[in-house]
Amino acid sequence: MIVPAARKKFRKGPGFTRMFAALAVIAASVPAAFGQLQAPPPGGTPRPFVFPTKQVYQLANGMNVTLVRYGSAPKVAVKAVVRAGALDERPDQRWISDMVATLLPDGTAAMNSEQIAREIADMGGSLSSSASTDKTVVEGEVLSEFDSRFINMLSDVLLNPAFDPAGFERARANKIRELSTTRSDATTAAWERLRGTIFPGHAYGTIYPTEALLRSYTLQNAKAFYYNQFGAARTHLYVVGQFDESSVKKVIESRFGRWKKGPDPIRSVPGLNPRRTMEIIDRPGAVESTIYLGMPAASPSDDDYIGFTVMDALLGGSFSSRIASNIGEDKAYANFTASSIWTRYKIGYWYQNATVATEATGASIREILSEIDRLRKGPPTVAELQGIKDYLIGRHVLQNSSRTGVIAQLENVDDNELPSGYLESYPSKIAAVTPERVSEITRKYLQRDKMTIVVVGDKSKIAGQLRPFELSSDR
Amino acid sequence: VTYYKLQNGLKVVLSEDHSAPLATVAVYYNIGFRGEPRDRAGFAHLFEHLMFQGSKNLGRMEFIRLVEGNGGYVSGSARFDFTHYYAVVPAHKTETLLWAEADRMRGLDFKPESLRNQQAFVANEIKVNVLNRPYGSFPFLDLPAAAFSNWHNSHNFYGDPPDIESANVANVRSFAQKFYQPQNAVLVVAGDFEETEARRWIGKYFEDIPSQRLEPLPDFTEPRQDREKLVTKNDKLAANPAVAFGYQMPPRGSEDYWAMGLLDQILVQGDDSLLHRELVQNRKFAREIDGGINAYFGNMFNYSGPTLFTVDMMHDESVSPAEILAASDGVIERLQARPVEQAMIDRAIVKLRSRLYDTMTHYGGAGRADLLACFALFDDKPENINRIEENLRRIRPAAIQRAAREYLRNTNRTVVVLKPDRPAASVGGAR
Repeated sequence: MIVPAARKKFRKGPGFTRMFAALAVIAASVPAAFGQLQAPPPGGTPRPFVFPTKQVYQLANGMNVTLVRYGSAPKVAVKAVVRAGALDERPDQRWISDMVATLLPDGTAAMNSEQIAREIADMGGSLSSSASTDKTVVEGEVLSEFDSRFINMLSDVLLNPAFDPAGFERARANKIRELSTTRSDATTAAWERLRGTIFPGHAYGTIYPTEALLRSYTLQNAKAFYYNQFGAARTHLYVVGQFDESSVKKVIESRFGRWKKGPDPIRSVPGLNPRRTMEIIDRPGAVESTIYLGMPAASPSDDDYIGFTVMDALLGGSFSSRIASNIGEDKAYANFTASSIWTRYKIGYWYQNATVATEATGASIREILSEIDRLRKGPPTVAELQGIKDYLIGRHVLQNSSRTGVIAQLENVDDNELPSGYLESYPSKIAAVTPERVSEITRKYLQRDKMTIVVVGDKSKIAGQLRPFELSSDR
Repeated sequence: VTYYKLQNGLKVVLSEDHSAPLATVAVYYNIGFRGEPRDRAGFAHLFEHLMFQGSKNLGRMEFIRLVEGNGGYVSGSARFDFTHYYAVVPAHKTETLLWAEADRMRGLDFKPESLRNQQAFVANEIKVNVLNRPYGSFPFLDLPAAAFSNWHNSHNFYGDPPDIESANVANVRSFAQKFYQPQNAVLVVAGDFEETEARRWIGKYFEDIPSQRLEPLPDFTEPRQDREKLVTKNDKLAANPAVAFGYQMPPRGSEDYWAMGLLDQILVQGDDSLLHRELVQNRKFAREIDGGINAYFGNMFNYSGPTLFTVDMMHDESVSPAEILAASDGVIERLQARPVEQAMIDRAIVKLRSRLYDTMTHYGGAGRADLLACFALFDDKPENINRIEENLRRIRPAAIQRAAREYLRNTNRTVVVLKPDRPAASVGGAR
């Protein structure tokens, strides 16, 4: 579902758990054919999905606030989302928003980084910040008994950053290191190329700066970005968990209420470049190939989106999906396979990602395309579709079952300007999708002449296999 | 927490939490890397794969379909002291999962072709995840191998190719009979269910699974380490140098153990931690440091035998591992020289408590199920989950100083240095 932008650390032992996804797709499916088999007990009836009650309000300066009382643990999650990110950067200042995000928790007018770190520790808290295409977030979780004190500190971090020169140098050195480590990863390289190809000339198309560019940034650049792009009108504060409502509201008003309004958020919806292309990134000696194959999709606020979601899960996005069964289980080409929809405001892009054995690179793409064709040509059976719907509805419950999960769902609704009641009605909307609708959506969106393919692998071994897919029309 | 045992010896822990309509069903078998027989290195891991290859009533991969088809999350993994299987599912599927776990505890459908398939899969997994990956075995495989002298703690647990190749239906079946039986397992149900109903289902599905007498575990003890160990390795794929060091931990549950739990918070956890301040903020040797007790396989609660407290980092090329160790020693020596202030202990406890709540609540209680299972498996006391804070509060500054002196000794330390060994070309090669 998420493309790893950075695998910043070595893999850890519990990776055994993660490897499970790989193990899951490799075995051939052999129907159990011995004796009289017992069927699993079906279980009870689903409990109704109830989204916790939320309170939404706006401060006089335009800042939005959402409060949700949730869960049984004495903890609270707080997240400030500022609509300032790559979209707001100058093209020659890619990652300046990342630099600002790094500097925010590094010191305020009142506290240096050590004092902030100690303050957080004293509250049993965590604090992190990051920037992405559309926004910068500062977020953390803390023991409930420190709810107001934590929001107070978070406001200080967001409103009064110190922009310490030494901190800036350190942040820049770290970003340079991060850049080299991140880009050595095959998945990252493929994803970067795909984004560059489909969003040429737009902030969404440039994930990374060059090292030279990073080196050229000054503290002044970072400050200018912060002062020009940050403000209350661009900010939404989410508070989810156990907390004392009246004192939390009071501290939000007193601390954030005096923030300047600042600029309004911008929207920049790029035109997609759905040109049929195939690109190979050469990694001599690679033992496997990383494939990205994508086409424009419905966006979250589009009427087709729910249907598209179901189609994606059935085609490649779930464990039981057709592509996973085909190139994973049946043919055992793939170590990893998943499809997803990359979304932004009014943007949707569908892609199938797979890591496959070098010798099966061409064959894997052929199978992916044949599965798309099969779904274009005919609707799935009611039973197959029902399995996918159960999966999506169950996943919705899981996604709404943690503090940070609840925030992520609310953020999705706000980012995409989805109608109120969206989260509550999601299960029934999924349930209403018909087999014919799935096929219709496949025909409408997954068109080969708009397909971009990026493959990272050993070019000497895969170029021949990929030749059939280079043509702009191969039907 | 409700705790009881079935006639066949299966331990059962039930823990209700109705805050979300989810339930975790977890089965932990008391067999991990450490307990593998000497000629069966990697069997715990191999077996974890086999558990998804079909049982009495479920075909290959059907277990996974059962969970994921309902939007749930399923996982299995082998660790040093156990191999566990758990699923988080919408609450109304609790009975379905109990039935499925019982079905595979009753016996697997060992087919030569699925065994061959999984032998090949594990071999490939090692190739892809360890051999052909930057930092592939660093440091989770390298550190225990270098630090421990007892084979059970130091062998290549990911899978020793000859041992994996030698697996056949007969020796896999005997491994199952010995270790995958009710006497050697704990079942945990956590989340949104009713106890009386759960007890009925558990009785119905698990009660009549036959068990056999357990053999005692082999000797896992380690001699006291009295010299520093150093291993240097070259990595052709790595972009940056890295260093990891680990100290052998005191016995689990001892006063020194709880003191080390606090020292972990004081030294490595969080940006306020002393090593983070020194190595990242002051000296700028690394972008971040990582580590902890049993850090690569879980946390300070979910293990039982000899284990390491570790620190690791990718570091700048301009600094040597010796400089990093010297800077780290400077911090540790201060903890050894005099007792820490009570405020530092209080902060460590708050951090640990906060993290524990996270562990216990996320994802319908899979984290709580993990702690309950381990306390039941290793101590026969799942209620120990409620004594963690009181154990920590008993630790005085003098106890921390004593633990630092005995366990954070350089002679109790093992260091693994990783050097990138790449041809001159820069990383990336994206064109």
